[in-house]
Amino acid sequence: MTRLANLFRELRSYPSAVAGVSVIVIMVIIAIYAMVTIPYSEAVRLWRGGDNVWLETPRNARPAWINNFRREKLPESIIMKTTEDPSLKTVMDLGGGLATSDMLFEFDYYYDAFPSEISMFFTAQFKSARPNVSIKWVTPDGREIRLTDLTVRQSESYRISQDSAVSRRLGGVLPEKGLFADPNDPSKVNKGTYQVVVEGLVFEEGSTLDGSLIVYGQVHGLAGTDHRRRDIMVALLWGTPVALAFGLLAAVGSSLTTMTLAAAAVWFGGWVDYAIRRINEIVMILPLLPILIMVGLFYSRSIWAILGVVILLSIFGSGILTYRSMFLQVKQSGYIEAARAYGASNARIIFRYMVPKVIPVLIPQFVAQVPNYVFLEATLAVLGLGDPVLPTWGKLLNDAYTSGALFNGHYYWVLEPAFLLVVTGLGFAMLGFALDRIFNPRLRGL
Amino acid sequence: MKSDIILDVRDLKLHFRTRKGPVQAVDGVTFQLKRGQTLAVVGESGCGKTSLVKAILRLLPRNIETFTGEVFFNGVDVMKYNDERFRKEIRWTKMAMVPQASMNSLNPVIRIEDQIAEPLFLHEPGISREKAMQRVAEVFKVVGLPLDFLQRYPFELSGGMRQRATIAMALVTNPELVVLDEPSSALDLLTQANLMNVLKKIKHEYGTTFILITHDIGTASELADEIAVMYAGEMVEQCSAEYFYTDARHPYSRKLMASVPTLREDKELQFIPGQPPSLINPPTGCRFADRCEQRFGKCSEHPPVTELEHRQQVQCWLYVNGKGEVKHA
Amino acid sequence: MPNAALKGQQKPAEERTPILAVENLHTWFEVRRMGFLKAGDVRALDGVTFELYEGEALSIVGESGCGKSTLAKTILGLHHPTKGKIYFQGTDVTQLDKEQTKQYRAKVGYIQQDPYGALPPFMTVERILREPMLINGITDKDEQKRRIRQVLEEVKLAPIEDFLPKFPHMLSGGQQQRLVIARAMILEPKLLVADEPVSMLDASVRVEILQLLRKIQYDHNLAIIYITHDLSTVRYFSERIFSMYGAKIIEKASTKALLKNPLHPYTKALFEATSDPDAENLKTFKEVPAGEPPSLMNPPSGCRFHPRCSKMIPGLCDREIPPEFQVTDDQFAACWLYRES
Repeated sequence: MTRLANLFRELRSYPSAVAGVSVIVIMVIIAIYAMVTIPYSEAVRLWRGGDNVWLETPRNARPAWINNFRREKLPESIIMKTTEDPSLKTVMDLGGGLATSDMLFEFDYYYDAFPSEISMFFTAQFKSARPNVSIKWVTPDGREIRLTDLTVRQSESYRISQDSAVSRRLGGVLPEKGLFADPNDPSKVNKGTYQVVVEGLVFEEGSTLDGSLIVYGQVHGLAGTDHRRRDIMVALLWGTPVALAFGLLAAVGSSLTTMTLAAAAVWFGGWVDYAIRRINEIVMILPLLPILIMVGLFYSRSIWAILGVVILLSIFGSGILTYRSMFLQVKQSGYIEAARAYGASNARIIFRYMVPKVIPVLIPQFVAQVPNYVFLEATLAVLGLGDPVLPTWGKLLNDAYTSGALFNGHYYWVLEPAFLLVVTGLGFAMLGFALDRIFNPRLRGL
Repeated sequence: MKSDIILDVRDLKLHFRTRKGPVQAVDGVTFQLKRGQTLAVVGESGCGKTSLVKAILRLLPRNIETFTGEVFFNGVDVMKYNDERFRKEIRWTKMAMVPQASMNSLNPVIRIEDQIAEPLFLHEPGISREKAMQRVAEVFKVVGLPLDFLQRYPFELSGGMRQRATIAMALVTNPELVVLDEPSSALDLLTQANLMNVLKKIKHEYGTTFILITHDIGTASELADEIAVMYAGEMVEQCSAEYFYTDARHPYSRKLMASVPTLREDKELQFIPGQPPSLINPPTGCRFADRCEQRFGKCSEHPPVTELEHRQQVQCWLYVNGKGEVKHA
Repeated sequence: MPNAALKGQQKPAEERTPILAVENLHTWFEVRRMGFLKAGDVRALDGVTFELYEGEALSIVGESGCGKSTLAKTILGLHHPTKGKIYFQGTDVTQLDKEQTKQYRAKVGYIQQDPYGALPPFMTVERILREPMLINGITDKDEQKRRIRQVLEEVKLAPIEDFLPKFPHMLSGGQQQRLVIARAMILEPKLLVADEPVSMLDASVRVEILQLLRKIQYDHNLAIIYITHDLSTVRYFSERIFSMYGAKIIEKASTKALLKNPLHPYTKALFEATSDPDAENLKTFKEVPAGEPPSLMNPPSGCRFHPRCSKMIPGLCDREIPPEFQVTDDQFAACWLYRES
């Protein structure tokens, strides 16, 4: 314990170690936060869910904070629902089951850019006669534009942006532009208070009608959204525990096993050593990535299956030769000879005498190895071999790549996961280098 | 015009910078060495004897905190030379060194003759290969190696032969002063004795001046005209070998002598309890005081160097103001 | 401690019981070319016979490669002998099974040359001392504590509580070697094998460790095999000295006799090569044989020292292996020069 305290004291004198540890601590906090606030099943549901889950988020929206750096402010989404704000709705009973159910959605629009989409959603309860609605758009300068008349099913969506009739009425421009355009300069937004007037009519006793208006913005949340309206934040958050777990498990699993095997090979020598070296030679010529791709294609794309294969292949990788040469030296140590002289068993010598000796060398290496595995997971995901259900940083990159994010100017989509990958790599690398200097004093800059 | 004194070191200090503070590896060492004589610097591991010669030869690592003092070589203060001039005019041409365990640092893939000739090509640019090889053959004979070994690789030579080869490498530029750092400690007894014979022969026949660094006083006595004792970065005694073994004055030297086992005579062996002080923040007074049986009040102050008869120089309060003889404890 | 206590008085031969008897011991190492072709044997130990008595300190001197360390390790069971027998308290330990070997090893303590290397750097002093007990079935906590306290007191690592949580690198060279001795003593052995126990230590500490070993030997009536290349320390340590050359013992003598008059030309050379601090040394050259110790793969025929020996008798020394001749009561030499005695 005092050794651990000393280690921390010494670490403090390396700024890079402090930075590295801070990064790792922040990552761990994010990972815990992600797992607590978005349980695993919820994360999977969110990420696999389609339009039902992500009804209210805009498509391909940039992060909201981008407005802080722009003179022309991009719109955020405006969501108004009668279920949440009953004052938007006025119901008047006309007798005989007939009733009006009028809705007035009034909102200020002072952004400098047009929204990305406008949609309305209705829900109705009825037995056989479907309610009717008639929708009107009122601009700040008082122009009234008729949008449409609808008979509402139990759940009805009206995508104003896709209504070609509206588009025609507006002179061939897209509705989300035409409806907000300044009559004098159609490229500019007519700023002010807009109204969407819905005149609803229900025909049965007990029948209800509710509606909502969503004016989709061009920015969303801290991270923006992807082409399927999914909030990228979910993947960024959940990517953290996945990356850390994958990196740490792969690094720990492969280093510890490699070390134990190398120690056994050196201690027993003879055919054990021979066999391990031959296996190493075979594994060294096996290409890791193609094998992982094959496993992904033919066996399982589960992150845990891939993790297992990665560990299995790295156990006999070049690391085992490094450890072997280290252990060959350790084997000659006087204290091993002494341990034999007082009767220590083979297993005891390997685990209690040989392995602990190289652990100080292992720790920095192992810390510096973590990002390699994090990057490997990302690489696999980019190649389309990511875990099919879990959101990860690599899969974000893959999605961005397949939907041409950079081509379409959605830089944030690529940069956000890339930034996290780089920061994680940097954090572990900085800590690893500092640890290397502490454990191997010869490397200390004098 | 060459004076009798080849090396005159005054108040030489070499402190290393470390994370825990400056290490006073060499702290105010002053001594003189006559031409043709051999000075043996003895002391326990970590007393600064290797640092002392590295300071004189300026073979320094990068983490230097303090490097001051005067080193007069043939009457010229070479501390004033810049590194390049020192390298060109002094190191290896005038002063050479056989570092510790150097027999194991020969390049395994270069023939012995080429390695020995290397200093020649570096310090006498333009020397022809024939001339260089002639000189290599000469020093090879001097150190007592058969000439047919010239063409061999280091691994084909035994430890003793390799050590001779490194000595040949130091001698090849005909330096006036050769520093030997533990030249024989890794060798077997008989090999060691043979090597001391060789060094003795070189000393007698060529008048080379040696500084011999060793922890083995018995071996030192084979070659040393003068003995200097170092303790915790300081030179606590310098004395002619004639008197040192029987009449060392500094309490540390006496204890050191009493701890050396002898083969031919029976004596009561003693050891020195305790450990030398850390060279980071050593005591301000006498550095041996804590382990000294004869310490008294004065010892909390730093002792000056007193010269006694037979040019014996001792850094100890016991001898200040002609107090002279030691009160035996 | 007075010096007289260091130089032991030997009991007459008939009262002594041998604790260790080594008979015609050979330890050869196979040398293979390209991993499988047998190229020959390194005869690291080639026919060694002697007896060691209870409570006796025996020094074995010789240069590196003479087989003295191989002898030590073969006795410790770290090397398996190719031929020959080792009797420990009457039992042949070369024929023991695994469990018996373990019991035997517990009765023999081992002290190595490099104290720092001999201690696991990642264990505390307490752990280091507890390991041999754990391995050898001393699991009672109180007994462990008692023994740890006892050995640390014996090697004078005090105050004990300060040392227990320390790691080897926090100790000085002398303290490390005391810890090694403490560890060798913790199983209460009957025999200690000390392989160059002081050669890595500074002169001032060396004496302290040798005196400590000697005191422990007396207190426990231990037999000690003290292996060294340094003739000057044996005077202060042992009752008998063996001199080894080329994997064989070439001279056996009481310390007193050997130091007064070494018989074998090789022992004489060792004697001559050892320098005592003396200003006279400056004026003389040493008369030591040139050349190198023999190859142990192809040792010279006859006496293995004959190629370097100035007194070589042609036709005898280079043909016949000299047997052990008893020259005086307590001095034996394997040298043809003494064939008349």
